[in-house]
Amino acid sequence: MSIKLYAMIKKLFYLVLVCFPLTSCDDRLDYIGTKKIVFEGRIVDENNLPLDNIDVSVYVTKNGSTGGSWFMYVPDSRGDDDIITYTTTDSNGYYRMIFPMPRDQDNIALFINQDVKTSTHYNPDYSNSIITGIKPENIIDYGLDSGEQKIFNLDNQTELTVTINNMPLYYYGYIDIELAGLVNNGIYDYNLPAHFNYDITGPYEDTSAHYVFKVAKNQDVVFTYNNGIINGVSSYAQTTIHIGNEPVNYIIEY
Amino acid sequence: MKKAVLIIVSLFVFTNLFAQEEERVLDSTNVDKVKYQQFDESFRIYYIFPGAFGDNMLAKANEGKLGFGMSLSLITIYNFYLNAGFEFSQYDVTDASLAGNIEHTNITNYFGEIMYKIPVYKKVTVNPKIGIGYADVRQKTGSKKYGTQSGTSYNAGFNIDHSVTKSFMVFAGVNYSLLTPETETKSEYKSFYGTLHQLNIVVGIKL
Repeated sequence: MSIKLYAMIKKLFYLVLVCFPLTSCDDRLDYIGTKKIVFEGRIVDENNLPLDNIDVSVYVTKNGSTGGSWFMYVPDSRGDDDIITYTTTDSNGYYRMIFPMPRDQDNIALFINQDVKTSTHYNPDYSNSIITGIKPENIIDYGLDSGEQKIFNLDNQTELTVTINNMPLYYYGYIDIELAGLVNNGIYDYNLPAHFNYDITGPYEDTSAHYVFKVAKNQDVVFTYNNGIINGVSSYAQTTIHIGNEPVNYIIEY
Repeated sequence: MKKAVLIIVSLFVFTNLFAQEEERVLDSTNVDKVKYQQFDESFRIYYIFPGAFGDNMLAKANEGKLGFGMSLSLITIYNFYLNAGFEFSQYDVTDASLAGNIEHTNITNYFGEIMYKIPVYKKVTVNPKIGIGYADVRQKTGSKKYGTQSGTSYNAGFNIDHSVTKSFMVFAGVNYSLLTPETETKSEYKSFYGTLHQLNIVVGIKL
């Protein structure tokens, strides 16, 4: 009887060893391991030629308890972030990244030719851009195809300065602007009607602002700005600016 | 995890039912014709050299790092052994575009198996085995988790045992596991993430 009891205890001891679980917990960015999402697209230059070995990555952020802007791609100090995947374009300019779906993120952004810690082929000769504001509803059938994204050779770069005068005081020098075109350091929102490139340097005065962009030569860019509020809804004005070989100063009287 | 515990506990209970059956037969007949024998429990503990092959995430975007396993013989019927155990295998992620910018892919496989012992030499046996289990595929960087996939594992392999003493053996073997973790993705990638072929080489001791 005692031998049986001993055998039972021995067996139970082994069973506990076999069943010992490995567990831990934290409250950082969370991911759905079963759901694999696919980001793909193509990077071409200003002449529509494919660019190979261009770094592309996906940056996921979660704001902490202090909250943060939905628009900015950087989390607040108490938040969490991950470059959840990265790759480089192939010889035809194509890229594809597959990664676990974030569960509780505040923002997903696509980095193109950004000099970040995972970069292996950052190319300082070309412009860079960020497509931010990507939301789970933009991911259809487990994928997001960004199509062709253009970056340009910085040898082909000039400067565009847009000055807006006589802004109403209630704007405090800040209005919404958009610049569609080939822009270096461009930050675009995936879900806005036009690509959005917002100012991170202004305002300079209460009633005027000027925005400096590094843009590709020999193109037409479309500048859109908030020109008032009608019945509580912002209205926008749009102007096309031609960029030649020289720097451009463009003045808008509000 | 719950399924794994259920499998192991069920096997444990099953074992003891057979132990009672053995006792009853002995008492009633008092002859040495025991159909089901309760051998001494053999406990295996082993180191794993994890591997993978095929067109799947484990093989194409990971590299085996280390692992360990344990198994317990619950009952024997002639030369058949019914075992339960688990294996933990850790892989380093080598392709962030396919497996995410994550340090490790960890696989924990809880299994039950039937093993057959074939004596080859005086102190050497070859033990082919086949089994089924429940596996978790977890991705982690340090303590940070990047999600878990779980699913059925189908296992096969063999060990070669060498007796050092009556109750101590060393062994080496090869374990193949077909892992089928739950996966939601584009149809063209479903097999890549949901059908993993693991091939582990193991060395260990048996008590």
